[in-house]
Amino acid sequence: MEWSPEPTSAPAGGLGTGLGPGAGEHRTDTPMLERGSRIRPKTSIALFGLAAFTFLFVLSAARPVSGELPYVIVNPDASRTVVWNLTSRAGLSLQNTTLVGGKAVLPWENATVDWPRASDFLSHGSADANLTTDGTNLTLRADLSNHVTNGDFASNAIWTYANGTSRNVTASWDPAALNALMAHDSPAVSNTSWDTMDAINLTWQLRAPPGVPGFISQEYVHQREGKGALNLSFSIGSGTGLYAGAHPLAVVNWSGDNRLLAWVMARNVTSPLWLNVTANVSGSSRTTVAQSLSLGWQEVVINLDQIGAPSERSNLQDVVLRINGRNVASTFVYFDDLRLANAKAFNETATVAQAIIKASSTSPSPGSAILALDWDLIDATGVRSVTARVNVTGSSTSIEHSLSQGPLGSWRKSSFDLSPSMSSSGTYAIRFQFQVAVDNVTASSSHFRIDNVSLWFPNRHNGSYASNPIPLYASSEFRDVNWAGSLPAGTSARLSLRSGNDSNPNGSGWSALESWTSFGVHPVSLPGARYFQVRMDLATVNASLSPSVAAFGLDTMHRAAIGNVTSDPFRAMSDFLRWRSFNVSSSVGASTSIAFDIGNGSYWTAVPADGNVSGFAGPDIRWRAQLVSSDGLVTPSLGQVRLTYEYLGGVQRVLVSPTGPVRLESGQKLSFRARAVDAGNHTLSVPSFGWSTNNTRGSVDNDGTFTAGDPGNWVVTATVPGTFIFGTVQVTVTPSSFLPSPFDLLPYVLLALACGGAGYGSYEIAIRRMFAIDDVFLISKEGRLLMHNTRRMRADRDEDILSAMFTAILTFLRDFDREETGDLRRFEFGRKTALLERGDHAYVAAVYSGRVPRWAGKDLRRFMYDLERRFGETFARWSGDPDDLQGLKEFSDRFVARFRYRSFPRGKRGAP
Amino acid sequence: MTKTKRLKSKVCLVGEKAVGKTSLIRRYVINMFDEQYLTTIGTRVTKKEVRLVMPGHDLVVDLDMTIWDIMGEKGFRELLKDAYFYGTNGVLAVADLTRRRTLDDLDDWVDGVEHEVGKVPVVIAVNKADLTSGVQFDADDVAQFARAYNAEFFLTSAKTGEHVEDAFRRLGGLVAEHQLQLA
Repeated sequence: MEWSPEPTSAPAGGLGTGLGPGAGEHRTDTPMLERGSRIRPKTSIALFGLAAFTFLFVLSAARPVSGELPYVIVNPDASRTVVWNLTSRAGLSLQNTTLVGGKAVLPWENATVDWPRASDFLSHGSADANLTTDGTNLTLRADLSNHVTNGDFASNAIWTYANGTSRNVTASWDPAALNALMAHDSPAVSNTSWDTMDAINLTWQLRAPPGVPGFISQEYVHQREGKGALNLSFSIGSGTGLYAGAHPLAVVNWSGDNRLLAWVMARNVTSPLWLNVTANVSGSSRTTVAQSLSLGWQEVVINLDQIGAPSERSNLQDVVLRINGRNVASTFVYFDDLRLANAKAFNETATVAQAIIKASSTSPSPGSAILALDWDLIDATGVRSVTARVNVTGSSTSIEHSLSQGPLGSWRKSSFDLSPSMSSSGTYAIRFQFQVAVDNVTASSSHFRIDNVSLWFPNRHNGSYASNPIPLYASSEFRDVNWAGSLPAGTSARLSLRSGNDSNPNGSGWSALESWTSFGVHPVSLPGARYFQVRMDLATVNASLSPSVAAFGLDTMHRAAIGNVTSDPFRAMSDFLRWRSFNVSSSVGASTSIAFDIGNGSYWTAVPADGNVSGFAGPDIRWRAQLVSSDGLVTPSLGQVRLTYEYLGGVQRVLVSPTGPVRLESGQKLSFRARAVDAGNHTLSVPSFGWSTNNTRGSVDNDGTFTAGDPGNWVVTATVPGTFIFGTVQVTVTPSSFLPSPFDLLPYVLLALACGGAGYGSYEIAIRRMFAIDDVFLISKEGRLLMHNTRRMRADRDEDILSAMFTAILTFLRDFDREETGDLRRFEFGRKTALLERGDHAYVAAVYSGRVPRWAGKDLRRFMYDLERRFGETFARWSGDPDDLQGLKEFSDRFVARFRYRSFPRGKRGAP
Repeated sequence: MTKTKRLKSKVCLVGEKAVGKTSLIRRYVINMFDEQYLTTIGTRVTKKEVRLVMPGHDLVVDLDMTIWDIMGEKGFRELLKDAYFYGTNGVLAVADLTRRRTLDDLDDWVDGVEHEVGKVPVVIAVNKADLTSGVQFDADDVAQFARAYNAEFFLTSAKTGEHVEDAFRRLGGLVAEHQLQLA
């Protein structure tokens, strides 16, 4: 159990509680002077000309802004209210509840609807015919049938295989590999030796322009074949068009062949070298295309057709094998084994084809007709070029695509969008063409295979999915939606959600749809509800492509269905009488409830909110609140719990019975009974009462028996001994037929009036000749009253306030004019004189009535001196506790009670 | 067994003019001198007796709390600060929720007290909490100010009585604790 920093308390007795006494009940705080003291009321603390004080206190039980549970409010009717403000967990046990804004509520609980597979969509709803699922994704449905027959070449059926015109390129079905094969294979052509270069001295000579030094010689060591080779040694300067060449001295006839094959060895190609052949044909200079030489031996094939037609090559003059270059340092080139041949040359195409009948038209939009195949260009050796193409021809259209070349010897896939070309129905021819061009003298070959040919018209259309109304665990707030998938270019997907409280999707109360078009996590702003519904709209502008949705998740939260708040045990104070009431501040809306129990730790018993708990025994108590909600969107809330118990307080009133007014005849007797009660009307044990009456010639015994005296209206009073708490009853006494008439008493009345007048006259004379100390105030410098001593029975004003105000006023006077009033020692008001004396830590104010003798000031100074000597250190360190000032009152009695003040002898420190 | 002790304390109300110091006192304790007279010297003194349970000391303290209320003009503070602040045991610093300046100037008042008597308990009452319009600062601003003086604060309304007694009682509790430590 935890206590508040300080329980609220009603003000203590003397200043009143703010409760007006009931009829016949009075608080006796009348000063003695009002009861016949020689000092009249008007001489009391009216020195400052202040109006009468009004002591009314407002009791309120305000709630603290902050604090720990519970705190206790003391009520004015002898009861205390224990208050648990549910602002913190202190003093509470929370089970499935939470504190929010100073209230206990059912907490939010998170939940997730998770559809990790596309099959989950279909199990919770339905899709139109354009949607399908592969078990993993929800996609647009496609027509995947292959319109190419025997596309995998499992047999030789339906395809037509056409060879090239000269059968240099062939097309066939490969029964072993089960694919179509288009190929070319040819060996190297035969040739004849033209010059072995074994003896060149008489048949070849150097041919070079001026400025190009060089020579030719027979090489016998590094020849390519035979006995020797031609060595052309030279250097070439920086000019353009310079060369060094070997020239056969004889006229050349190359009319029977179109290729010259020469082995050439370049010794150094740091400066590039090129080889060409020049000749003079009937006065016309001709040349072949110069070919770059690489380092070392190499066979160079020279196309003689570049010199001229065969008929022109029968009598070639000035044939030169030229080595062209620039800035060539001294080097040499060997020529050896020159041969003549006729090159093989062709450019043929083989075809594999099939006719397709397209039954219906399709969209010309992209993706509506897709031709795909696997192909492999196995090799291409010795060929000038190879080309693979796909050709589709219809009645009014023809389209051709080349198969791009890549690495040899690996299968590749290609697909072609033929949508615009094949949108119409009809017959189409699909041709795969393999074209090989060869122009050389060496062996050549190339092989090309195709397989898995397909032609399909996906024909995808936009589609939608709608779920059934999906019930949640409870009515819930929606937090986030999370969906995943893929969106190829040209496709889109839209997720839409709505919420409602109707299991019928066509019912009322469904919210508008909230939609998202991008995958990921998105916050949901739908209103909380019991159901939700999912809609998916998939679309594409490419019939071959589809968006796919792979997963869907929805995060929700709802209030817990039930929770408890239990207080720690609380023990009432030892003056506990009984529990009175159990009250709560709570909010319980539709579909929610709060049930309360109280107990002492060993058992629980149900109690209604704001109920009577007087039947609960014992000072130990605890409470429990069970919060329940059948609607996940709402929660009951509990803000405050208050348990009130009654306790036995101090005597507040005296009740006298029978209650008045009572009518009696003079001489009659009546027994009154008195009962002391506290502020809560709890009867207190009082051993006896003091009985009195103002009825002249009437009396009341100690047991409350009243004997009526003189006629008139009187009161009988019962007082709690030692206190000023009493109760009265009004008594009307009527004359008794046995009493004498007033006229019989007239002599006695006149005598009493005469004595009273004489006494009053004597009193007036004495009071003018005497003086008296009415009040002595000892006040600390900050204005706190240290001690007040008065000759009156008790003060009729609040001495603390008087002291503080007195201090404030004196200080104000001092600050207002320090020179004139800084040492104020005496002032008079009415018939009173006040003397002031300041000490180191306090000052004393003595209020005199009557004529103040001159030595009064000296007495006051000595008194102040002794006070400082005796109590100065105590004054300096005073914490405000009157108990620290033990002996001060008795000390001051020496000043107040005696005619002259006698100082204490030095050394005795003023011990009284 | 719990003992009962009586303590006498002096607490001061400080704050700018018209923040509601006197109204707070009037709400808390209707026990005042004639206001016309007291205005002449710029000071009002009232008194409240409070019973406090001090579990940490196993005590019930009857605190006689004289409450000194000074007029809000700073001139009075300068003139009377010796007497007014001298020996005070605690301070209720009052600001007006509808005037930001009254919170900003409160540090001058509190510093004035601490200059005279050193560190004493301070409770801040932000008054006029019943006014829903014209609010010029919020609880965070007050909390920031309160932290600077290690003080607690209450949003009070002298008009409705909201938290008025709480503020005074809390100050009384702190003052009593402080005085018990000095004893």
